[in-house]
Amino acid sequence: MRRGYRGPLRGLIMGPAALVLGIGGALAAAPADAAPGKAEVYLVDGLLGVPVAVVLDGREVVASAPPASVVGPMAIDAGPHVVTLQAGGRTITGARFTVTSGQSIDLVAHRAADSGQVPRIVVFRNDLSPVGPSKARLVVAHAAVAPPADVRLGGTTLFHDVSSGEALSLLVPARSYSVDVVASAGSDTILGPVRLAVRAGTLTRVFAVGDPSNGTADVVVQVLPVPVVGAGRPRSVPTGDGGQAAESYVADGPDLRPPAVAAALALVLLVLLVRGGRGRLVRLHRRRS
Amino acid sequence: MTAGLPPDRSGRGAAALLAVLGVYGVALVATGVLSAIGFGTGRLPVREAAGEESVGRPVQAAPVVVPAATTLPGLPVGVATPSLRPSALPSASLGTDIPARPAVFVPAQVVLPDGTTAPVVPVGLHGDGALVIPDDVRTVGWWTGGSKVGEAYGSVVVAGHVDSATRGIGVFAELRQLVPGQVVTVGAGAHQARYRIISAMRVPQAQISQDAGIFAVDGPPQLILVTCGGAFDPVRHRYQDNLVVVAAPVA
Repeated sequence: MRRGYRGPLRGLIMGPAALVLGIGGALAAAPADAAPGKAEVYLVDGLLGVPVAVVLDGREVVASAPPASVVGPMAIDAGPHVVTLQAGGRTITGARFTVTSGQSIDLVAHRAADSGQVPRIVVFRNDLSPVGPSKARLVVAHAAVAPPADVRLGGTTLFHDVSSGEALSLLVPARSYSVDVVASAGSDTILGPVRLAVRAGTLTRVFAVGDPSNGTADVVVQVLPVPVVGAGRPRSVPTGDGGQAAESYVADGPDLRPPAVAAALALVLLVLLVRGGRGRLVRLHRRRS
Repeated sequence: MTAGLPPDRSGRGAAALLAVLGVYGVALVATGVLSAIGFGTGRLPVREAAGEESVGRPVQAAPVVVPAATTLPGLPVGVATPSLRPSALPSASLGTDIPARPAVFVPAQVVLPDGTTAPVVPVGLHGDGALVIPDDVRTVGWWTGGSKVGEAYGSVVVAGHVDSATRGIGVFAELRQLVPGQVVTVGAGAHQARYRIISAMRVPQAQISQDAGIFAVDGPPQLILVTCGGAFDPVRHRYQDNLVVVAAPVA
């Protein structure tokens, strides 16, 4: 699916409400891969503070992105770039990053553990490789001010000991999940549980952001389409047409196949022997011995 | 550990950064520039992005999560100065994609409890909806519509001939000997996964597609081995049943 460059911004802002409402409605289709020589970049604002202006290579691409939003895709040339986030004319944070042709990445701005530090920007690559029918790739990324965490789906722990700056990926059936994030040490709830609707043929990325210690834990959800590859459900599984391995046979209709012919001959012989009486059988035995 | 990135992971991240993506350089130290330019707090009124710059509609904060973000304490905000040149900005750190545990892979071979080993190839469907079964009776097929080995949900389906009119008895004739408790191993390269057999059953061939459990995308992870079984119909050259062996991952 190569649709090429479609303008600087054609994307989605999705806050936690998407979790409740189901993700479908707010999602704009994004190209599954970038045009030649281009890369696609999304900015995930996990600062949870004030709306920010997103400035890419010195050009303001979004004047005011709300907290917990996703900005993009921004189609940019392969090579080095600079992104800054600004509020009130002041730079909150910024970083240099480099993309290669065809890449799709997220720049995730999130707060540091020490509130006196400049917020960080972390790069995550979007895995847009195909998924199977009725499936999605679910990625949970830890960008919160919190210790290593376990991520649970429907009460089952599927991600263990995820540290800040780490992401884990799962192929999951498309449906609704209850997601919660708990500290790996102890069981303090970092987030949730929240309902997450995961649609087939998507890369669904969940970013845990904020700081549970001051009640600002939140999630940002990003949904990107990915190709679906794989066969449908079989109508039949025809795994034998020889009969050499058969241990029994269906007895209807004439049968001229070798095993059946042999069986029929044996039956005829048996009938003849029985009709011939016990004496003939005895004679046969005597001849053999 | 109370909060944030442990120092050792931070160091590991920086090392990975340099080793894997040299392009990110060594400018992490430039963080100091931002630190040096001072902080304040500030808050902007929300302005709607206009025209081509529109990025969609803002979504209300969810009732299930946290109060409106604007009620949060302000962030430390660096004061933009002419000294904040692009070259002075730090490189973005590289998020770590943790490999899936257990590994997720397309099976390349299957080893039955008696040591019988068969290569596995991906298979789709014929035009009539029948699963493609490799012609070579020593080779079996992995259904591409099902789960890969190691996925958290759904059936990994592997099917092979019990026999073939032209190629003789197949490797999956051995499935008829399997009993619950035995272990089947699937692998690919360095990857390997073990499954313990929990049941073996015969399903009428005409009904196998209606069995929701065999081709389940959802549900618990399981390995499904399929061949033919039951009485052979020499007229139609087919078996009446499919033999279905179900196995669960060994932790």
